[in-house]
Amino acid sequence: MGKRSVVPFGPHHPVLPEPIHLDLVLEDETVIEAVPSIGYIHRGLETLVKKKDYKQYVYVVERICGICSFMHGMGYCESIEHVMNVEVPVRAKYLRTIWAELSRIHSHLLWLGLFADAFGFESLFMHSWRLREKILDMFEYSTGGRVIFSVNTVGGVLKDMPNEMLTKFVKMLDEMDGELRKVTGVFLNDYTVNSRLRDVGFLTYEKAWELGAVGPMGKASGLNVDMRQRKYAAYGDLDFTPITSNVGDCYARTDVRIQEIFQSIDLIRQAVAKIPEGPIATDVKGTPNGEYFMRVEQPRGEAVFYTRGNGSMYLDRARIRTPTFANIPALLETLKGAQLADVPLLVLTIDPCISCTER
Amino acid sequence: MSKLMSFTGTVLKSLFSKPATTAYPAKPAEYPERTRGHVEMIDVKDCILCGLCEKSCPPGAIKVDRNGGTWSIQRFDCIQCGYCVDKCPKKTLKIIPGYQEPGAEKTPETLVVKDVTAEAEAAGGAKGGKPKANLDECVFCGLCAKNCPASAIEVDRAAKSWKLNEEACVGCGLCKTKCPKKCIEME
Repeated sequence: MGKRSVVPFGPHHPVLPEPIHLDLVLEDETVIEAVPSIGYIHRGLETLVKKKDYKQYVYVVERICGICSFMHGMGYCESIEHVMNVEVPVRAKYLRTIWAELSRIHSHLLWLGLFADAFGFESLFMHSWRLREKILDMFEYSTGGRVIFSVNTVGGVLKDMPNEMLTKFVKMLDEMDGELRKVTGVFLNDYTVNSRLRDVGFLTYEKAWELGAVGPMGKASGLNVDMRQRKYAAYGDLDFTPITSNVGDCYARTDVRIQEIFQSIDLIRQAVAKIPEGPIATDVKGTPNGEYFMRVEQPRGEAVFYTRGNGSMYLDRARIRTPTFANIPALLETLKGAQLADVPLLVLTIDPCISCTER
Repeated sequence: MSKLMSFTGTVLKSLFSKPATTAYPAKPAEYPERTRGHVEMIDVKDCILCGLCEKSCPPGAIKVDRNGGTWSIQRFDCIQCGYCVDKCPKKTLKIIPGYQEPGAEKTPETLVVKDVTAEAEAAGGAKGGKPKANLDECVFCGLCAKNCPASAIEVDRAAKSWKLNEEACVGCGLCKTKCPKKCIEME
């Protein structure tokens, strides 16, 4: 047995976009145990529910995270709509689905870039973000915002996308397809990249299930759990099978996310082909009285929105369980037995969003 | 070999093609029509100082002074969510392209809404007065309640009742303009 030592990792670290601290218990260079601590960027957004009425709170929820902002807004709105028994127009459901899938593409491309940066491939990082920029342009063109759109409202959406705009987006995505395959191909096939990703940070199916891993983290270990199968928004009308892998290492998690980018493009194509004409929002009168658990599949995994209304404009409680929060126990499991040099890579492999986690 | 040279094609293409970035600010950026630049009051004359924008603003960036007749916005607090634009009963607020320029001081931008009384009367309101319905002529159609931006009016057709929540009412006068029987007066 080697000499044990404790090495602090974070909260400030070159590869970490956001602060999380890990106390790494090492034996020589091998991690025996990792003890996490969070709380560096807690903003008390859940408490704000007491000060902002349930419609204003949509704009607060959207600001929990800058990457899955749209899906936070959508999950919260759908939760309130269930409490108030509001029927959302079908076109609004399709528009939400299209924006949600575009968000997934932009989130995964962002992650691929950060991941490339973490293993020292700067130009691959730049190319991933160059492609992501085109998705951000689509957001700006359709909603006015590049990262935070503010198009969700209780009862539907605030902005429509004319059919010509949707067709143009599909054409742009078709044109991106070739470039996306070239760039993502480097992650999947390059010898040097593969040497960093393969056989590193295993998470078995049993452990993933036991620790409650969600999203690509769980899917890469064989967990066939995808909240889109619960048919919220327009997912009930679209044909898709969750992408899973049985390997459970860093490579599998990268592969699952890359395949999800292409699956999202396919879902957008299907949604644009099927989107009906009609209103985009329904007028909502009254106040929420009751409670609901809404589960949505964000790029990082399942997010849970619990809302409880008391019949007034202000909710009693809003609780948001975000995917990174659920994936931290799984991260600690993958760190056991890993080399110190692989720790930054493994932390990034869960696609950590600490702003989400701490709210 | 393909595993070792997988990035070469992309590198060569990048080497001989135009940069993906633009020479901003030498070449100005082009913004789409929907860009959320900043909130602008299109026509000061249309503003009736109802205060719905102030009540709706999530970060509290807008302040309406009904007595002083001014509307002000703290641009550094504004999050460009557009909720005030949706709430404005007169549709005089709009989000238009053009970002707030950086500054060293957080000074609110104040607009003087001139001649409040005359403009409010012309728009259907009256000195911030409250609506009162003449129930003899009222047909309890509910259009006033449906159009009320503050949800201050309750109409029950079956019970033939018309109720005003005076605390919620902002005196915008929209109920008066929407009433098909012209039986609402601002008092």
